[in-house]
Amino acid sequence: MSLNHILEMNNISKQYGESAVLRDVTLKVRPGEIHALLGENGAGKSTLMNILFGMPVIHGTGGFQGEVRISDQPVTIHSPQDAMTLGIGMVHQEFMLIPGFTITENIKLNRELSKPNLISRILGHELESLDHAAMAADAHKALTSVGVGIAQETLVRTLPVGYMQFVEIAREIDKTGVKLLVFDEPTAVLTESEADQLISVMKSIAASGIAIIFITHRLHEVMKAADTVTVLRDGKLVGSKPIAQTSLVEMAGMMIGRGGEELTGPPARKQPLSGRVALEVRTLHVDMPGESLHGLDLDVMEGEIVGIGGLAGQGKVGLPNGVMGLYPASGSVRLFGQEMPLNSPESALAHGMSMVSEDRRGVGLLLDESIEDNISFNAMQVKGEFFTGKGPFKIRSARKVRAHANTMIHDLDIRCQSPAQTAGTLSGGNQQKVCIARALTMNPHFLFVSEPTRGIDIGAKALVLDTLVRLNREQGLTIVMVSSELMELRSICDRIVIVAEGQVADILAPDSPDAAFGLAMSGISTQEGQNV
Amino acid sequence: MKHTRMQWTTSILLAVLALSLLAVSIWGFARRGGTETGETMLRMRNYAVLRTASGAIVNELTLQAKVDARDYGRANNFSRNQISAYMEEQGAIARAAAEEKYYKTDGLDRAELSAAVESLELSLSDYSRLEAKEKTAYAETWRESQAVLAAQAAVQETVGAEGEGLSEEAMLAESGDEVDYSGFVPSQELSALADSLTPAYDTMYNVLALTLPDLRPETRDELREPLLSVVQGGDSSFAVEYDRYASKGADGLFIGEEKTRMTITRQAGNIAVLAAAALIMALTVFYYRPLKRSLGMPRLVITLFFLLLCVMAALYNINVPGMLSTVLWRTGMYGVLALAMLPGIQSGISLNMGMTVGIVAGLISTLVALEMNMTGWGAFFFSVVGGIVLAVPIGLLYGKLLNRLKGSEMTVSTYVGFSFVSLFCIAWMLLPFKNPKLTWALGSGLRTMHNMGDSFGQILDEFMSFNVLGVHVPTGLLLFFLLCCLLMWLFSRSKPGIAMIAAGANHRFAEAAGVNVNRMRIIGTTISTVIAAVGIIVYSQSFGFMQLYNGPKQMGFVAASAILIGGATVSRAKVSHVIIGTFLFQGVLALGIQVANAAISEGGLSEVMRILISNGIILYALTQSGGDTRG
Repeated sequence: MSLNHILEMNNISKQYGESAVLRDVTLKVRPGEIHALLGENGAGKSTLMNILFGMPVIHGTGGFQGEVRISDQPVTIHSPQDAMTLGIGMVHQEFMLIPGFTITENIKLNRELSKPNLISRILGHELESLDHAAMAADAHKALTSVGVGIAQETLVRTLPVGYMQFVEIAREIDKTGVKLLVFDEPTAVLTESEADQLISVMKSIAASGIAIIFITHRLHEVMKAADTVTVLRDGKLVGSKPIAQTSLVEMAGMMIGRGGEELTGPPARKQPLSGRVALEVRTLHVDMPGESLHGLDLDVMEGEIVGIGGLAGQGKVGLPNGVMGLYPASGSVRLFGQEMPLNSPESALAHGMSMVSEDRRGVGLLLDESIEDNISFNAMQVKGEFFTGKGPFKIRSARKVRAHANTMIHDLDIRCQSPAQTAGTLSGGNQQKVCIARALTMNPHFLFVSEPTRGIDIGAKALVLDTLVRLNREQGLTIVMVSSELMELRSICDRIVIVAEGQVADILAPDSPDAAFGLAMSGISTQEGQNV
Repeated sequence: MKHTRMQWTTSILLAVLALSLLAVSIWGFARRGGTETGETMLRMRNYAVLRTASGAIVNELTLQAKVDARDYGRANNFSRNQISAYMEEQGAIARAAAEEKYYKTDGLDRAELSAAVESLELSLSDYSRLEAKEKTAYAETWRESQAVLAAQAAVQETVGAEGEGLSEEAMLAESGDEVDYSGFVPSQELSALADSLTPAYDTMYNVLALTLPDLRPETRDELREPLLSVVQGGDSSFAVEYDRYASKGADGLFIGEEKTRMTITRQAGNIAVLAAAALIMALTVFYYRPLKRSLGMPRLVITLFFLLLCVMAALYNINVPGMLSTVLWRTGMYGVLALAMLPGIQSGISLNMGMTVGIVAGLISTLVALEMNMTGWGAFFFSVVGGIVLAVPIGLLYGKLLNRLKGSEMTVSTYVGFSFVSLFCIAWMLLPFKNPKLTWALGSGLRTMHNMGDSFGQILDEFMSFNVLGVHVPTGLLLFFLLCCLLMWLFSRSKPGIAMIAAGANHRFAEAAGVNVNRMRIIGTTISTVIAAVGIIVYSQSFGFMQLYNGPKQMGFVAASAILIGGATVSRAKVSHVIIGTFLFQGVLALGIQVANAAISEGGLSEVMRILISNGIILYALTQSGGDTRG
């Protein structure tokens, strides 16, 4: 059997509403190869895979354009069930296993082997009894082929995290007729030795003729494991190359790439920076689910705008949340030389730090309350401002709150009907401005801005960024801005800190080469990169 | 504001309907005063008088025919069934013949008859007024004595499996029952007036005897009561008079157009009510979207249901001022209890079904006041202060419990509420109260129901209370409720109040501002418990009885329904939701029960309807716990 390609996805385009997430993307996978699919968050990798698996989210939003061919036959995949029938398997990032079941039961779930018994002979095969021996044998075979020597009757709950990944893989391999396996960031939760073992398992699976699509953003794993690499950026195909013909640096460049956009820096400062250290972070550990930090060190100068970048899940969001006391943190944080108590939002606010949260609707706003109440809340609680009356009998002064809200609405150009409008009815950009207004009402010396442009439209993005630059230039406010959009960081920041695996991977200037950013994001600093 | 074509058409049609109904009703009202109607009414009255007299003859003849038939049947050895069938048959034949002969209208226009009836009516007027006054007074004492009897029955009844005693809804239903006038004794003055009527009556009877020569002399006394009740006189309204004559068959006088005219004249009031209903419908359809947006669907539905009940109450001739009095009274009675839900929702523990822990605190302090034989304002304030003092530590502990069980507060608080009531069923038996007024006559333990009448029953209700247009306004009760609301409103504007509401609305937002969310939840729970303690004291004094044992079990549901109907959600509530919700909930309940009583007169069914309505509203309110959130 000599097939050219086991899978061809030709000229795939997909739109969610107005925004195109995939534009004319082509992916071709040969049998028995490990094909790496590379790209930043939001590059379109997940959407492409959702199309391959016929996920309801695709059909529910108007389908897609383009053609999918399996083994040179054009196919239409309407559901994950169809995909399974066609021999496509998926190893999920989050384990889809039942903890209270044994490995065998998990592997054979809904595909149980059974043998007839007295009752089933009368009442039909639905009542056949399970063939435990045959199932155990199959499970053992699958486990051996992924190279783990654990007893198949072990409960999944008792396994170490790394092993669960192998059980997932074993389950996919056990399915008969599997031609193509998709590994969605399989190494994200594995230790280094486990990751090495996984890669060797992948290689042996590929050797048996099953093609593998390997989704990751760890460049060196791609170099180690893959035969071919396809890079996506902003929903477009950047290129597809055999690994032998490319290098770490080239891949990093392809992944980040500026795509012709010119960098326009922010307006210059009138005065040079004072050179004083505003914030000094030492061995900061933050226990924030999915975004934890493991011993981060960082200095921020007074009057700077520092950008924090990095891929999702690497811990960049953990920095503001840890310093502001929203998630349990340990380590040392000094603000203008003064030691800050951690794990106390109140004292962080009282010391003049403010934060605009990345979770606008969850943490940033009281959606059912008015704009003015949202703006004044922190100052009321922490500083006792905007009250009227004497002694313990102070009540909210509607006049002061309204006057301040009107000033903020004017200064930040918040588009609303009145200060009494509920925050939930505002557009994303204006909601973000309300959050910034609340942070500014605290008269901070130091401002954390986390993902300020997430979920807001392009025009509003520019307005929010302009506002930040203006605050920095006019009031000398020190700003640390966390963002997943590298272009945004590069357009306004003085320095950009890339966080990977809970630590600083590299600190770069905004005009550093694209490849440097790409390497830093996969945890390789520039110096190391040049050595590869 | 955009309207669909459907909206336009429907609302215009409804408005036209309303206007034409209104015009018809105005025409009807105008006709009531007209001379033509006055003459017709005189004809009706004369006919009713004549018909009452002739009716006596017809009945007599029918009876005679039946007796004859029975004797004939016996003489001819008919069986029992045959006899009764034969009697019916002969009776019907005789009645038809007699009606044919005596139900005549040719005597109507005789001037002497009119004059005689007129003079009787004149002399009757004074008598009727006095009699009405005395009967009203009698009815009042009768109702009170009935309530006392019912309460005594409940107090004396042993604690059953449920032991819920007498619900105030059952009392409400009973109060609408017919008054039994068998014990009515006229005063001397009234008897004297009655005697002075005799000459006028005799004159009229003589005229009647002329028209109906077959009247026997002895019927003069037999017919006195019925005839007087037809003529009556006094200040009765058009509709009442018309109905009185019509019940004697006088509406049979009208045929064709006149019949329509008279019907419209009689029903002018009801037509006006229908016109109002159509107008409300038209406005609702026209302003449907803004109404729905500003009120929210649940409140719109309940408000419309309330208005529908008002219309039905008017059509069923239910005493509207009396109804309004009941609604006001019940709003004040339940208002503070419903207010107890507010801080719970605001602090994020959602509906505090466990408010019964506060209720128990209030009951204990009231019991202490009763034990010490305290009365009046002293007893009331002692109970309130004592209830607050007891409720604070209980609330703190309960709040800590809820903090340990975050995420399932509804289940936990419902369970705590029920189990606390059950725990105190044991406690009520064991607590060392000694006052014989409180304990069972035999053995120890507290009774299920305690009459507040001799301590501070109704003390708030009667404070500065007044009547306006027949509506009894319990000023003190309403003022106390509004004072509690005002205090809560002020608290919601204070620093801890604002923090508490934010903690309840979005705990992560509050945490990010350094607010101690757990502390806020404890504060909210404690305030809720304290208000519940005060609420049950207000409720007991207003109801006039304090209920122990399973009495407070349902209170949480009643309070929750009120605030939900008012537009609150399980995570967001305002003081206005409490006021509007309590008024609507209690209004619908009180009106609904009365209308159900009027519509279905069978005793058993109206009881079923009562349970259906009260629990139906609670169920509807709970399904609407999504409320009117925006954004």
